[in-house]
Amino acid sequence: MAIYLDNAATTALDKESKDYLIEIYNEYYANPSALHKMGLDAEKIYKKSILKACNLIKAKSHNFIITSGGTEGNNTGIWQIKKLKGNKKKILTSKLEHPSVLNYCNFLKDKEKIYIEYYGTNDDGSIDLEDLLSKIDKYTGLVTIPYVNSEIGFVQDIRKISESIKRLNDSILIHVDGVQGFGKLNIDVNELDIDTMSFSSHKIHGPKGLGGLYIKEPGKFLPLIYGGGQQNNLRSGTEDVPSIASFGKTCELAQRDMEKNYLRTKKINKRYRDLLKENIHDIIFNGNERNTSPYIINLSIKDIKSEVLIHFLEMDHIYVSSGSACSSNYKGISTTYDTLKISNDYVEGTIRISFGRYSKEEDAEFVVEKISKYVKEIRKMIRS
Amino acid sequence: MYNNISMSLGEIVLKGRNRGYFENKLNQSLRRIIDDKNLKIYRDRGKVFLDIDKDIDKMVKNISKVFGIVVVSPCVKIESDVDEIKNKVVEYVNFKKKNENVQTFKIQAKRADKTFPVKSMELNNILGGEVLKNIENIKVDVHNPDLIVYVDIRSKTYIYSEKYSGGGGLPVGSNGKGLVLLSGGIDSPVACYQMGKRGVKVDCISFHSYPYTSIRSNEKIKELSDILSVYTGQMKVYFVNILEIYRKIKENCQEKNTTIIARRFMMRISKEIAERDEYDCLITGESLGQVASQTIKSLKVIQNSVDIPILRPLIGNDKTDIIEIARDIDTYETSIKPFDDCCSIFSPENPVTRPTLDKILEDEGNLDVEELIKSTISNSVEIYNTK
Repeated sequence: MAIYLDNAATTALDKESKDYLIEIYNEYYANPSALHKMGLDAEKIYKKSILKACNLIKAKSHNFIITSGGTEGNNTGIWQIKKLKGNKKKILTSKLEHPSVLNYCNFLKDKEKIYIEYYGTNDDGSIDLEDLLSKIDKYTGLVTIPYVNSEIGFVQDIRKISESIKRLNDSILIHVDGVQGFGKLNIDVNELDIDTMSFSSHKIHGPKGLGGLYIKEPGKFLPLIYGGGQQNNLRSGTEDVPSIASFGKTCELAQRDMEKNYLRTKKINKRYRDLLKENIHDIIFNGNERNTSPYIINLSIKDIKSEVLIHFLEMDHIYVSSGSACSSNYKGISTTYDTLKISNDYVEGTIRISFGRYSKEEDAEFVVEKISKYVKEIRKMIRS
Repeated sequence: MYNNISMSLGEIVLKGRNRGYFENKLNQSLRRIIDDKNLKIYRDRGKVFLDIDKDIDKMVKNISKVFGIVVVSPCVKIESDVDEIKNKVVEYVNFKKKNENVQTFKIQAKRADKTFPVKSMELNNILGGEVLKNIENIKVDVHNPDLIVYVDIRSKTYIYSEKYSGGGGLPVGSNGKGLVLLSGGIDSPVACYQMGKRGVKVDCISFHSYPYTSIRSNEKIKELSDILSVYTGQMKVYFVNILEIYRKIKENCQEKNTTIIARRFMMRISKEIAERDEYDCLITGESLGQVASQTIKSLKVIQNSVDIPILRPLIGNDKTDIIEIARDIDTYETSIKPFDDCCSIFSPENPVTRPTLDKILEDEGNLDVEELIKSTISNSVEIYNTK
């Protein structure tokens, strides 16, 4: 049995959600836009499921669209800068963002004459709010904020940040990448003064290829995808009713168990941290523990290469992830690590352990024992 | 309208008394890609033919990769009878004219069967006249025609106009067996292809140091060997994990010699496997001066570790030439996937580029070479068979 500790990358589909997916596939495969009764039945399932997703963030269903996942959500949110009139041509973003934010900004810069500026971040992974506010000028049209950073799990205080921005200029659009917080942390979009927020299904044990986008003002929304006018003309394309139903089920479970899961994960997280500290010398935990999501531990181990450690661990069916310079050949160096200023002898040994619903506290001992053993072995080969 | 494929042989025709042997190997290569046993492959006065009536384009494309064949053409096979030839040639020109922009043509008849009653020149005139009589809006142009109709008279007669290049070289297996040291790079797959083309029955050996290298880099080697097997026939890949050897080098030898000593081990292991499994030579993708282990001094020191011929078909090639071949044989895009270079933690920062044998032997003296080779071969070899 695998000990899967890469839940920030993706998760195993929840069993209830999987059964429901198949059930809906078998019976409600009709197009929900169809006029006949089968279409209507599918539409009912669809609407019911959307509500469950909306409940998770306390949104109304007309403020929510289904997307193909976090990437589309982020692209679409940032795309909203194009609806602004006049000289609002600048996006403020940061190196803490996911590639689906940063590379989309680069695309807009190259093809749409949008100007991109990066605001500063602190060594613990938090946003330098003062710097952000100082960079706002009459050209600023949109600001992006990562709710929970996917590498180190730092949780930003969205409300404080958005309020400060809107106080300065309430016409500035704020897009939040909510993917790593969705279904894990309490989100109430009504309390956050933001314009769009993206979500993903597969990070919380839902089906893959699906996500959502919260839209504060659907009446002023600029779609990214055009076609048959589905989802109130906001996002065309035939709705994948079975996956959406399964996603709805997943959201329902996430809401039901949110607090329980949070506390359980916090305990697992602490157990891992304690054991790691105890058993391995020369390690640093990246980010600030107090403001970090318990679902993610990011650490750097001196004088190893994380990719080698990952291969050692996979032999014991333990799966963690890296994101360090070592894999830069084909994944691109993570901009998050740039901002954290991790020293050279540590940065290549950076790994991320991320938890999900099926993670177990009792695995910690076995996992840390293996990490410790392999770290020694790798150091022997690498240290001269 | 085609019902046959003709194949002209390359160097095989120079092989005199051994020709039968080479043709036999060629037959085996062809049978490999022509699974359908109902399709008849036969010889007719020096050329090879295949009776086939469907999927001809696909078959021509496959045959064009077979070593030992220089030209391949889809053709119309008929009885060697003057009237029948006349009718068929008119039909053929009509067929081509319908599908392509043909305004001028030329007939090029050739009698491999000299007992055929009409001589080639005369036949050209007869057939040309017949076409002009029966088809409108077409003229003869002997210098630069849109269409050359070849009429090849043997036991049967073959009419064709398209000529495609074959794989060239000699049939696989007609020139012994070789073991290719296949890395995930650009060069060694090309070396494998080149020696396959010279008739060597090739298999491969690949070294890795998992978990210090990724499983994905082995998958890449498998992918490369699958691509190569289109030309070489089914291959075997020996995957050898030499982590233990690196470990011992790290513990006992000077860092700057790591690459050279490791290469010597790879050669020795390859040689042992070659002798055990009856390969006549080793083959590498080394090109002089490309990296530190490929200087002439390094090659000398590496060569010294084994007494089996090491063939280096690319030794005098520039990188750009090698890349061009790699693109032609479809290995390039796979070779440039970047898995193998990642974490090349055993490469010394300053590798020795002018090693001397004395110094390397002295350093290697700190290792139990025989034992390391023996244990590696018995514990750390896995075999993959290409598709």
